[in-house]
Amino acid sequence: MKLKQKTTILFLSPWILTLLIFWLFPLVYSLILSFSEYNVLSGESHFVGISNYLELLKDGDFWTALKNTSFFVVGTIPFTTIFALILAILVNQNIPLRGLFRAGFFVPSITSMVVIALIFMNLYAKEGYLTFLCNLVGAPTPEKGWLFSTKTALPSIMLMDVWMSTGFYMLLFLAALQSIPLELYQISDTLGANWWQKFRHVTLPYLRPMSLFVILINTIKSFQIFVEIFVMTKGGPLNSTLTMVYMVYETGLHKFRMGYASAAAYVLFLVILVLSLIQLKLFGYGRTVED
Amino acid sequence: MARSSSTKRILLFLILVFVLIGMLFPMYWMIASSFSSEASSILEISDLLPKGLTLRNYIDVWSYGPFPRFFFNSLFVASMITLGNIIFCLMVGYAFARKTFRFKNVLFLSVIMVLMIPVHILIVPLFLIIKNLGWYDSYFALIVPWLVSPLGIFLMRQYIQSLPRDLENQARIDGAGEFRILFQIVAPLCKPALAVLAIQVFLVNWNSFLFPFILTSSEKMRTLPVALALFQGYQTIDWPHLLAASSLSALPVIIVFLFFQRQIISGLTAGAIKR
Amino acid sequence: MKVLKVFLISVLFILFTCEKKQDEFVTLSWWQFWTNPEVKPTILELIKQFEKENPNIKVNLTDLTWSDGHEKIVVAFGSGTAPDVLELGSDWVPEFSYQDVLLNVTLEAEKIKNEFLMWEPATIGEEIFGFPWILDTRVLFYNKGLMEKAGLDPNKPPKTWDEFLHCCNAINRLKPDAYGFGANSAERHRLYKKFLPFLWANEGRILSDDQAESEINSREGVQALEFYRRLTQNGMVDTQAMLDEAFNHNKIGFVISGGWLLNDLRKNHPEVNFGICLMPKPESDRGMPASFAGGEFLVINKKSENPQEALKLIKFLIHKNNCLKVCQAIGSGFPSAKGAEFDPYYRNEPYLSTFQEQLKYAISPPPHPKWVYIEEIIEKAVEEVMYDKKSARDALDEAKSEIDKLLR
Repeated sequence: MKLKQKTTILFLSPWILTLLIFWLFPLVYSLILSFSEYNVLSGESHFVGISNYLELLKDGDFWTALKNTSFFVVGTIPFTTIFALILAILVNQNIPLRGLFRAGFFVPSITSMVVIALIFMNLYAKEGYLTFLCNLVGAPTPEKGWLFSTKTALPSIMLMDVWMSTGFYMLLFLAALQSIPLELYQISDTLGANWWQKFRHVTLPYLRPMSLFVILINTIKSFQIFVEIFVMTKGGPLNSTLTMVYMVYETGLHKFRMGYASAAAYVLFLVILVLSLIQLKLFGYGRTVED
Repeated sequence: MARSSSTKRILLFLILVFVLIGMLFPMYWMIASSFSSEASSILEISDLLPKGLTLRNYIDVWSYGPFPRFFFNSLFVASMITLGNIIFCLMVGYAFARKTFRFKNVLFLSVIMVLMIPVHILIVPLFLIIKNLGWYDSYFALIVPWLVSPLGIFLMRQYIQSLPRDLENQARIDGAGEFRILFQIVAPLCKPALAVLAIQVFLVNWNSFLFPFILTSSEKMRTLPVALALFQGYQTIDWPHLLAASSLSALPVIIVFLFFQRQIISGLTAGAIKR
Repeated sequence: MKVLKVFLISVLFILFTCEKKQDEFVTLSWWQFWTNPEVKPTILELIKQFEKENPNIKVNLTDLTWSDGHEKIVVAFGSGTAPDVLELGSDWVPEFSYQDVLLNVTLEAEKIKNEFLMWEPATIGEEIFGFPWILDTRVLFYNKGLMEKAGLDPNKPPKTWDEFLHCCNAINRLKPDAYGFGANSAERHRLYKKFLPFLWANEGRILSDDQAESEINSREGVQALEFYRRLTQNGMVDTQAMLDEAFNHNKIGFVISGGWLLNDLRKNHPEVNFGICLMPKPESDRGMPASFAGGEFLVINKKSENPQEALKLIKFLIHKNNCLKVCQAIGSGFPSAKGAEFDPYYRNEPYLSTFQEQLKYAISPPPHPKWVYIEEIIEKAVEEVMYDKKSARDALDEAKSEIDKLLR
């Protein structure tokens, strides 16, 4: 028993060490900062209790950022997850050129962000290809270009995000599909199950842990959407693409109010944490396939 | 019946091809333009076929500063981190998936917490730690903090949880030690997840910009993404060279992807045979 | 007693020799932004020359990027690892000066103040926190080919606001082949630089002299913003980088831009028939052709252990001839040293004389500790008007009351 505990600790040691050496201090430090007025440049700091948090509640930008971020999360995750799942199932079939498809769908994840941003900025330009397509079918187009109109800027970035991240989640689902014993499909075939029954009773249960992972990771990452905003719109126009992390970045590193930025970051953390716990509950934390 | 299913398959195939083209387009444009002498940031349909094919951009990039050194730095750092993650995330993920121990939930929360807090508020304290360790501007700063990633731990935990326990229990009855069980029984079954992990970790660290930029100062320690950012002049971007450099920089990732991508699928056969 | 004496003397001796040794050799760290292949070699060459002239100083160079350099600098100051000498853009100098992290160089600067230009961004009250190095400003670029196409005289660029608007409107009618004015989108920390010149041109001001209240909603201010709105309506909205590219491709008639665009045009787009001119004035007999004062400054870290050597390096770099070398490598910009414009180099550069003329009307925002916030308020007002959410009058009234709240 003792030996067993020892090996467990040994197994855990890489994380415990990394946490203790590199992450514990920054986490605790920033938590304390969130209760102080701290100027990151001059190092001036004094304790202010919960006044940063109270100020957040009254800060219009904060609510805009929270609203935009939530919209981004709700508007991207279902699409990313479902597209990723469909693509994974398709390229797991015996179709011609499936190696090419697998690699090809992952390519957006490899392409450099600067290049992707550039191409989408062209796509979304006032006379860009998206406007051209819309004109063909007679759909309305924004007056100033897709990224520079308050109504379309955020959805445009969301579309790009779905395009960009689907490949990675497809790969995750593809890996999870490999853990399904082939016998189960053979058995269902002999039982005369159709594809939906097979999907519902064999594939889905086995995909549950990975689906949880995909949705959770996607939630965490989407709530932290930053690079795309930084490269493409810097939060504009009229704060229509202002997100939480972009606000944290502006407040901490441009206005030098690291304490206030930390408070915003911890509120974001709480939001993600609560949502994650709900997701864990819904999907069944720690349950395995056998249960 | 057979005919309708084959038309369906053809339709499906065509849809996949269509999606593929959409996904490949930026990469294609990047590579095509990198061979062109007059790439710019305004995209015209006519740019899809590069004008004036030339290797000039690549030659310029390769001979600009110690570019091979930047390339090596990135390759070395990303490879070491990938290797570390494959071993450590497997270990930690296994412990979280299969073992019971005190403070398990708290420890797992710490994994998720590191994932959830925006890095911008952690940069300064982390920088202080690196500096006090005497690691500023060294490979240690670029590698050691990232050897085990929270995302990797989480991924491995989820994957191992979905595996049946029979094989492990069998081995335990046969008297195998925990290390043998992990590396000889569990690890082969985890091949698909480990392959995904390797691809993801390599990719993230190969492209990592913020920390390598902040944690190093000398040219000796510069990684490729930092060098690429420095390629951009004041207010202007030198597209032909930047695209050539980006294409060069994508090459190792593609190789790593193709290599590990095979493992995702071969994991299937390995698992099937074992069972 | 004797033992003590010997001990003290030896201690002093050791201390003295140590001190001496430090004196003999000093390593200076310098962070700078000129990393592109065209300019970097010149910087390295200058450092070599400096080290040769000062054999006891070694300069350790670190490169910063324009897009993320700000972060690295903030983290460095926040963790006490900032370099001895640092290059800062003109808009960053006040921001860092107010945070009390830069060395007060008033005494040294006063000695040479008369020999150099553009001290304003580095001056706070009576105190000076940095040295101007390279001066830069924005001028109006116009596309002669498009002007002709639109039925305008390509050799008569607009001089007044009315003419300007008329030209933009005429070219804008060519759309979608071409647009009139290239207007900046809501890029943070940049949009205000595009609007303020119009305010200044119209003799408007952001703050009152005593900085007790904002005057941005004056009649002049409202007129300027109203004019800016009409300009943006006669053109296209995009980021600066895309606007510059659009100009390179004969897509827009007018863009306000800097020396970087001039370089790009001359090097990579010889087919574009363009001209540059001063910013237009509100009326031919009123106002002035104001523009935004940009440029690069050199500052010293307050915690630097080698301020004397740092000063030496800065003085070397801002020296007329040395700075001229950098400007030549960049292809634009001017040394801060007075009289540099008479150098033969500029005589053969017809475009640069326009920049030089424009520099006379280059203005920088009033230094204020809360400028980052004021800037944000101004940008919000401009955006609201650009996007037809508010009238210029309402937006600026609100901006004034918000700025006043900050000033209190």
